[in-house]
Amino acid sequence: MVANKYDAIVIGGGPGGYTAAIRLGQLKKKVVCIERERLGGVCLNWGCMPSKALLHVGEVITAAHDLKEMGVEFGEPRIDLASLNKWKSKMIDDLVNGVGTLFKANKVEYMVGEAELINKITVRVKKADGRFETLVGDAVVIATGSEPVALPGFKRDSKTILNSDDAVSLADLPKSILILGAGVIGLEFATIYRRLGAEVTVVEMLDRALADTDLEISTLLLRILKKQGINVHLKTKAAGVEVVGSRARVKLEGEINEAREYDKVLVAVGRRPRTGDLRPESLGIAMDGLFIKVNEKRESDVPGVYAIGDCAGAPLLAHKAMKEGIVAAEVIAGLPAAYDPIAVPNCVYTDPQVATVGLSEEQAKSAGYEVSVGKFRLSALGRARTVGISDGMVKIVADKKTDLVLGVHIVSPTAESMVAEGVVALEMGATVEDIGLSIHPHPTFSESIMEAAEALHGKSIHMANVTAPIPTPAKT
Amino acid sequence: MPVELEMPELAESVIEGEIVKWLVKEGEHVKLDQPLVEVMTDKVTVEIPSPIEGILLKQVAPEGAVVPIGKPIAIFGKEGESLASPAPAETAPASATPPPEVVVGGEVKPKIEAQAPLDKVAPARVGNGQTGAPAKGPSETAAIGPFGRPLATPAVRKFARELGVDLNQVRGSGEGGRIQREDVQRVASSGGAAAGQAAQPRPQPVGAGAAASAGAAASGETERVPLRGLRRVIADHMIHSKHTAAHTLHVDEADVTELVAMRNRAKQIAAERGVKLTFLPFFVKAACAALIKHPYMNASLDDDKHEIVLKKDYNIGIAVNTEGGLVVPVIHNADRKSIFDLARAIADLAEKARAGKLAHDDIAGGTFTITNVGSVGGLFTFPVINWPEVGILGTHSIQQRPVVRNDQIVIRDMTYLSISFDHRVVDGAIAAQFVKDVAELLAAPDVFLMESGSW
Repeated sequence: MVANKYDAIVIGGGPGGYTAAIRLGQLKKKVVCIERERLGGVCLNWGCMPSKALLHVGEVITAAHDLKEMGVEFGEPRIDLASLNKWKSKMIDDLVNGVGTLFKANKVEYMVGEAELINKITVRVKKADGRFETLVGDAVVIATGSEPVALPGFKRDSKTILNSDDAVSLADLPKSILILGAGVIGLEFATIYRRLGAEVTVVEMLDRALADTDLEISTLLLRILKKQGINVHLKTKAAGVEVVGSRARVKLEGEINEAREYDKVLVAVGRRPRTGDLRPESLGIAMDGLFIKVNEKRESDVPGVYAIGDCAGAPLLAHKAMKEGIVAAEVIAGLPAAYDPIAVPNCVYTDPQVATVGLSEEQAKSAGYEVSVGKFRLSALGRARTVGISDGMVKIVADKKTDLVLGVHIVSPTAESMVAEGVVALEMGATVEDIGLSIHPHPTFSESIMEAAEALHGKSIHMANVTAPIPTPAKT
Repeated sequence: MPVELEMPELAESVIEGEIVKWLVKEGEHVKLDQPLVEVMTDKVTVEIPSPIEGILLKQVAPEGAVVPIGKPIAIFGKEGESLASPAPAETAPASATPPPEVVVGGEVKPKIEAQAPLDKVAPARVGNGQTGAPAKGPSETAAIGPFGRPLATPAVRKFARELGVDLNQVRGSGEGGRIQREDVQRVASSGGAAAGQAAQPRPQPVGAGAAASAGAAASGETERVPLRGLRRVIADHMIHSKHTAAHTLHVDEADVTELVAMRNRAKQIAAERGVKLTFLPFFVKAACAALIKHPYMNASLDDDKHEIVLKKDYNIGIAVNTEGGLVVPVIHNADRKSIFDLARAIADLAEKARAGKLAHDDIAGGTFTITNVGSVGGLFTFPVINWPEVGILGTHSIQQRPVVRNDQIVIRDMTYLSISFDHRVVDGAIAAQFVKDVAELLAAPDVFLMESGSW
């Protein structure tokens, strides 16, 4: 049998995989992308995109409700779940088709099936009809992504006990939901379900939410979420569950010490790389736990085999995967690319959003920096007041010695976009003074970044400064 | 707790050093003052003694790396201690939420600066006027950005990758030590830091584009020799000189018949005093006399201040060929030395140069250079100026040639003298007159002796 020969074979059609494939196509490489489910991966189909759509719906409902205070009143919202899901599916289909169109435009071959690594250049694909096809590539890019971590004792039935894939498909609207885990995914679903009217309880085993986020930021977020009626219990664990009819009876230990009943339980205790099916270690590829170990070029220790995205190391974020996809593609094409970001931003789509980049205050301190911090609260920001918001803040962490920005942490509407300024600041090696001296448009939420920068030097205009005062110029 | 050892300040105005050879392996115990590493600066190799006693945990700078003064070269620890994390130069890609142990680059470790051997440290060179070269102290070395990485924008980092330059080896000239595009270009064109990680020989697909370079174009059998050590320094100096000075050549000839006779007479006396008398001391002496007459030939151009620095010392560099390449030891105050003293100094420096034992002092402070290509033969050469000096005198083989004297063809001992000079500082007339004066002094050594102030 003559195998099909490619310059590169990409296994996985998620954001990392499809980006790598498209860039390879742009670089005139013969490339095939193999996907076992749907193009776009978790991000488009079960993660980022559908959850953001649901969040948007919830946000408008909340905004409409809040307009009452401003003298505008609507009736109670009626949610037609079937229509909502139909719209969501259509939106996702459009996005997925969009990727397919881009594949065609860039001459990327697309193949649906289950990939198996035979050796470092050979991939066997089991197609939907049960037939096998063998492909040979000069390079193989593994982009198999990640999957939700299951919690022992909480067996997923997709009806009462859910994981994030189930939660986003929103088969029915629960009156009450228990979310296990106060990480990014847990808190985003808490926000979605709360906005859609459910009673939401979040339990977290650790003594804090959003584990690696700046403590002051995560503490502020929890306070805001509690105000919205999301019950968060830290240092609390779910010891066991019993499904009674369609409801779950969960034994809680910690801040709550009793069994409580919920319509649904969402297990959101994290994600783990999906490398098991491919068994890369059987080819002698070095692993780092479940992650494939890669170098700066995203090449594994087996030359010609690359890994990108969630299966190639933390953080498990789509934008990191996309960047890695571009790097791997360019390296394969012989270009001197490398994955060398100073920092990767992270967004949490709660209400308000949390977005961070760089080191938290605690991380900066433990890394040995003499840390200086500038903060600005949204209560002092005109733009926030125009939409009735006063909770939130921007916090800048810097190296006191050099004034270099080490981290930017935001709790605010549009934080998802604002954080990009922090990314550029870190990548360019900006100082806090650089940010403070740059004119930010008024009235916007972004002004709070400038104000936080100025506050770090005791020069904020719209806030009483607590840090060092402005030195007065010496008289001549 | 591990301590970092930084590249010591090796000599005045030396901004970086190349790790030539590690004398201690990782994991080995090092005694105080035990020779630790050989470092090359400005063509001089010095042995750095260990300033601390302990275990060499990591050679942060590999052999061949060019490290700015003040940047870490090694990490030391106590017995049983190890590095829990990669060295600063290899910090893992930072994530939005890096676990603290990944951020080792930012970790502040107590730092120790190695002591350069005292006898090898050049004294401040008063009146040398080499202000054209930026004098950088430890505080001006490449700044470290967030996460302990070199401070450079993404575009500059990409540019460095394209040129195969390791940013850890680049000194940033921008605000706060930021590495600019030009800094990367400078290191790349000096062949410097790239040596450590010279182009990875990965198969280049056809039409890969950007990767094509001088090296990549070569086909057929080639051998790749890393540009390191003295060769790298020479390459660096030569290209800098050629890019900076306005090189111009002037050639004259000298009738040295009488000098040859004089030298032949003196040879025996010299030998009795243990001196091998060559012609070179006479050329040095004559050059000094001509330099005194033409002060702009014994000068340098301070580009920053737009000033010409006229030097009052006559320190003559002598180009010496060694196995590793050309070095230029300097005879200080050559104008005040006798012919015999000069002969001794030249022999002594040449010997040290060939043995690789030149100290920084031996090559520092030159004001003018002589390169003697006579031993090989040929007509004359167009030498590269030993920047920031203004001129270099090429001396050549002495041959008997028929020349016309008083309408007669006679056989005389003749030689060519070439002067390569920086036309920015002196014009052709001065340079030509300078060589003519040297030629005349050599032609009439008795007159020269009588005019000499140091008789």
